[in-house]
Formats: sequence, structure tokens, C-alpha cells
Amino acid sequence: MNQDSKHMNRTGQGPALEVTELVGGYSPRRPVLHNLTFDVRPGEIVGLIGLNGAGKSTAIKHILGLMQPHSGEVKVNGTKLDADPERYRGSIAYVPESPVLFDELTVDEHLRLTGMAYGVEANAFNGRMEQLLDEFHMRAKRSAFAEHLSKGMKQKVMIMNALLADPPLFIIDEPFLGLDPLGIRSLLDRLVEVKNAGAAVLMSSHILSTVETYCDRYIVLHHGRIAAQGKLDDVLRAADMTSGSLDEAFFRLVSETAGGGGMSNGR
Amino acid sequence: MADRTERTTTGSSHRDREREMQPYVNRFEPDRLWSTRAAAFRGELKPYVGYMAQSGFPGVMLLMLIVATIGYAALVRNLPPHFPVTAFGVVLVIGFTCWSPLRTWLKPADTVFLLPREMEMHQYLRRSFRYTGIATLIGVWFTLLAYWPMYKLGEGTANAFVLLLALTALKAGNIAGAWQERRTAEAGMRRSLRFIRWALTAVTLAALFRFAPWKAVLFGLLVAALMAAVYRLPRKHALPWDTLIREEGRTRRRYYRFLALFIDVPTQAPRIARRGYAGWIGKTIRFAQSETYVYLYTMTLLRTELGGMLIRLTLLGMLVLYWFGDAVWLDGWGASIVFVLLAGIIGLQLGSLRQSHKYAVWGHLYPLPAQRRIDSLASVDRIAYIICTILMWLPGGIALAVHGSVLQALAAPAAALLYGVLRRPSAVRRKALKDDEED
Repeated sequence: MNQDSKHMNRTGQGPALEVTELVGGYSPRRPVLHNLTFDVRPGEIVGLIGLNGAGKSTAIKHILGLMQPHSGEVKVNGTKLDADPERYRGSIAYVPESPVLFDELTVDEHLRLTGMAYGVEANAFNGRMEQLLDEFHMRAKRSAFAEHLSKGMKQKVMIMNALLADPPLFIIDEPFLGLDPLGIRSLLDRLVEVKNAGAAVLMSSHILSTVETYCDRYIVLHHGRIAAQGKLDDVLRAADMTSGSLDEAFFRLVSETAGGGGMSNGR
Repeated sequence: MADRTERTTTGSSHRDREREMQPYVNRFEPDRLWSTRAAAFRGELKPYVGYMAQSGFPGVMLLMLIVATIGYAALVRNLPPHFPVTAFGVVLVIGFTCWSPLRTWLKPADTVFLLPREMEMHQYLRRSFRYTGIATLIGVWFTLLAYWPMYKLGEGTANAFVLLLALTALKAGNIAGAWQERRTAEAGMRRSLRFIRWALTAVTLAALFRFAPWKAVLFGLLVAALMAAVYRLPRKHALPWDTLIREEGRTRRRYYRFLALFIDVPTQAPRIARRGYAGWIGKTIRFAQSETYVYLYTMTLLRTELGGMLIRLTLLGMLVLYWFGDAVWLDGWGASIVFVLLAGIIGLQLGSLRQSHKYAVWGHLYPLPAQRRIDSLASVDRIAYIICTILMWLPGGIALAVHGSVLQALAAPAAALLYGVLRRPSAVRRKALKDDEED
């Protein structure tokens, strides 16, 4: 079922992720996110950038359906969560900011569990697992428990699980923390690969040079509002610049509007 | 007036806090630090213990104790001719004799803040030895008291005072041995030493319960000398920080897992054992979306402490039930009574499986129907319950059948099967749903 829905999406033209007028947060009286509207289309990597506390993780939680919007809506693969939870969930793979592993499962068994949960075909599973173990240099650690993995290795396990599920939408939250240089390169190579195969990727990160190189579009989140979004030119324009790097534009956007919300009307 | 009261309480709580900080701030006072931490742990558990008491659990335990006492008295009064009196005594007494836990209240942060004080930690640890040593020694004495009436019916000739002294010495030796094991650097070596200690203690106990006291004491001294030599072999830490911190964490988890049977407690990461010999079980589960949670719960059951406990309980049950079955106690129905008790404990322990993965974020993210988790939990629980109870019954049941008590041999497993298939899954499902609603 999952494989079919992905196929439908990748041939269709609709966005993989569509967030419309999203207002959200923990307390209804104090929303953290204000009217977020953006989308991520098949075949592109979108970078979500912002300072600590800008609302990136909260936005991701709303997309995952772990938090309920106060207003506005989130559609994944054309479906809202309530309408078809299994299709919605089957369309997302998530790499959390801090790895969340089962203590009692080995690396291999995590992959097996993910394969089962996402309905990966039994025949395809072993090949994919072996390939991932090689690509992320985890073959020697395949029988290790989470307790005996370093932070970076745990992060690799999370990434391998997401890639194994191979859904139409990847949500990746700050993936480079603790990853060694080979791991970073494998991840980026694979992201380009899944993108070329028609998947959509939303990636949040503080490593702006990498975001600039690998992402097709950017969303700058500041104080829970979208301060700028689009291609590099759009972000530069929002920062009143004509040329420069994403890093410089971001710095101007967040320091100029430190008290408010950028393009929207302040707090 | 009210104002003054308030000021006094704030004043005293401030003083408390100051006193709590003092062991760290002014000069290092191991004794006070130990007391502060022990009190903190008691305070931490206090609210939960209330719920436990309200649940009727103490009443049930008391009732079980009374039933067990009556049953035991009946057993002693009509002891079957070939009952293994010595082996029974060893199984009864060895637990408290060998098991030598050590509450140190040490935590991971101590490798940063207390490590520099390693030289002064002796005084601190002395408190720990006294605390847990006395508790387990009392346990030894109690088991001896329980065993005494049966011992008199066996071949042993020692008087009670000699046994008491001998067991106290044996306990002290085990505490010393357990400490040397904790200091041992390699985990494999530590496990081997522990196994040797348990095995040799078992033999010493058997000698003590069976032969003339002087022979047993001589044997015990030989064993002690041998162990003292063996303990010199491995590489050792002066103070095994990591081992002690791990052990402390394990003990805390045990407390919390027990309390979790009655009330929601903060979850703690489980302790994992690989149990390679059971690894094949996971591989037999079909690779299919519908089996996702069956796979997860099966692995949890096999790898966590719950699995270890069930394995130990099942093995112990096999042994005990074999004795009762082989002795055809109470016309062969005695084994069934003990079986009901043991199967009840297994069922209760197994019930804690539903605490696992209740809050796992992946449960919300996997593309699976919400009901699936609980269905899989119930089916893993059912299969595990049936396997454990039937395995546990097998030796005793076979012995009963050999003695011609066929009805007695078949009644207990039939009841366990009926309960496991018909009754238990719906109870597990109901409890799991209730948990979900409460959250």
C-alpha cells in the first residue's frame, strides 16, 4: 500500500508536504508558530533554518502529527492526518534531532523493525539493508545495541532507517550533529539520490554552508514566523542584499528583526 | 502566627538544603553524603509506596505467605519418604546466602565529582556494606528458621546454633567474594567468578545440611582458601566506579519496575542482555507489516530483565514441581497447588510487558493502526505465558504420570492453557486500553 501511494505521488505533480496558515504550539494562548505557509515538492530539498528556539522543531512536530495545530492545516501526499492516518504516516520518514533507539534492539533489528513497519517488501529488504550497512560503514556494528553505539553511530542508524523506509517525504532534523565526515558525505549523497528519484526532503540544520550547497529552496524561521523563503535570491532580497551567501543573509535577517517577525508585522 | 510558622518552615527547609549541600561544599563527609542520599531515595519512593499499599498487594502477599506456610507445614508433617530434604534446603537458603547486593547510591555524575575523592570512599562504602549486608543476613536467618523443621527430619546432625554460625560465616564470605567480583575488570571473568561462587556455596550448603558439622566446616574452609586464591588472579579496579553505578541503576530500575505494577512511575531505560541462545526466536517471526509489534514485544521480552526473570522462574518452577510431582505429595495434587502459585507469579511478572513502548515516539509515527500495538502485546503475552507455564509443568507432570497419577498430571496444564487462551488476552487488552486512556 505504502509503495503504491509513493508511486502515485511521484508521478503526480502535487506537493509532498503542504503547510497552510499553520498556527501552533503547546499552549493555545501562546502560539509558537504564526501562520506558516510553505510546501515541499517531489524532487527538491528544502532547508529549514533558524536560531535555537525559532520554532523549527515545533513546526516539525506539527508536520509529524505529534502536535495538533491551533488553526491551519498540514497535508502530506495530499492527505490530512485525520483523513487517512496510515497513508499519511507511511509517506513520512523522520530523522529526529537526537537519536531515539530501542535499547533492546541491535542495528540490524532496528532496520528489520522499520522494514516491517513501513511494509518494505521482504525480497527487497535484505539487499537494501546490506547496502545501507556498507554505505554508512556500520557493518562491524550491525549486532551492537544502542548502549554501545556512539552518538554519531546512533544518528547513522536513524538515517539508515529513514532511507530504508524510502517514503515520498523525508523530515530530517539537524542530522549532522555527531556524524563523522564520511557519514555526512554518505548522507548528503543519499539525499541527492532520493531527491533525484523523486522524493521530497525537508531538512533543518545550522550548518548554513551545507544547506546553501545542497538545498533547492530555504525557509528562514524567526520567532515562529517565516522571515524569508524561496531560492537564494529571494532570501537575499528579503535581507535587502543583492549578492552574498546564505550565511550573510541569514545573519542580517535574524539580527535586524531580532525583536520581531521579519516580513510579517512584528510581535 | 501563620506568618511565623511559614518563616520557620522556609528557614528549616533552607537549612535542610544547606545541610544537603554541605557534604560537597565545605569538606568531604562520606558518612553524611551517604545518609543524605539514602534519605533522598526513600523520599523519592514514598509517594509511590502509598499507592502500592492501597492496591491490596500487601494483603495478597500476606495471604500467599499464610497459604505457603500452611502448605509447608502440611509438607513437613507428611513428608514423602524420598523427598530431597538437602536439595530443598540448598534451594531455600542459597538465594540470601549468595545474593550480595550493594546499595551505593552512586550515579553517573559521581565519576566527575566524587572520583577525585576515591581515597576517602572507604568510609562511604562501609555504610553500604553494613546496610545491605545486614539486610541479607537477616534473610539468611529467616530462611534457616523456615528450613529448620524440615532439616530435623533429614540426615543432618548439627544443632541450630552451629548452623546459624556457619551460615553467617558463609554469608560474610559471599559478601567478600561479591566485592572482589565487582572489582574485577573484565565482565566475562566477573560472570565466571560469580558462577563458581554460587556453585561452591551450593556444595558447601549441601555438605552442611547433610554431613557432620566438622566435616562441612573443614570443607567450607578449603573452599574459602581456594576462592581467596582464585580472586587474586584477575585484573582489578581499586574502586569499580562503573560497575557500582551500573548496579545502582539496576537496583533503582527494579524498584521502579515493581512500583509500575501499581502506578505510573518515571520510565527508566531497561537493562539489556543479548541472550544469544534465544536469538533464533526473533527470526521466526514473519517479515510482515502486521507482525511489527509482535517482533518488537518479542525482542523486548527476550532481552530485558523481564525475560531473565521469567527464564529463572521457569527453571526454578521445573525443579520444585519435579520434586513435588515425583513425591506424589497430597495424592499428586500438591504439585498443582504449587503450580497455581508459580503460574500466578509468572502471570504477574509478564503483565509488566505492557509498560514497554507505551510512550515510544515511533508508536505514533509508524504507519500502523493504533489498535495493532495492543493486539500484538496480548498475543505475545499469551504465547509467553503458555510456553512458560507448560514448560514449568513438564518435569513434574511427567513424574506424576510415571507414578500413575494421570489426572493430576493433566489438570494443571489444561487449566493454564484455558486461562492463557481464553481469559488472559482480554484482561491484558483491557488493562492496556485503560493505561492508554489514562494518559
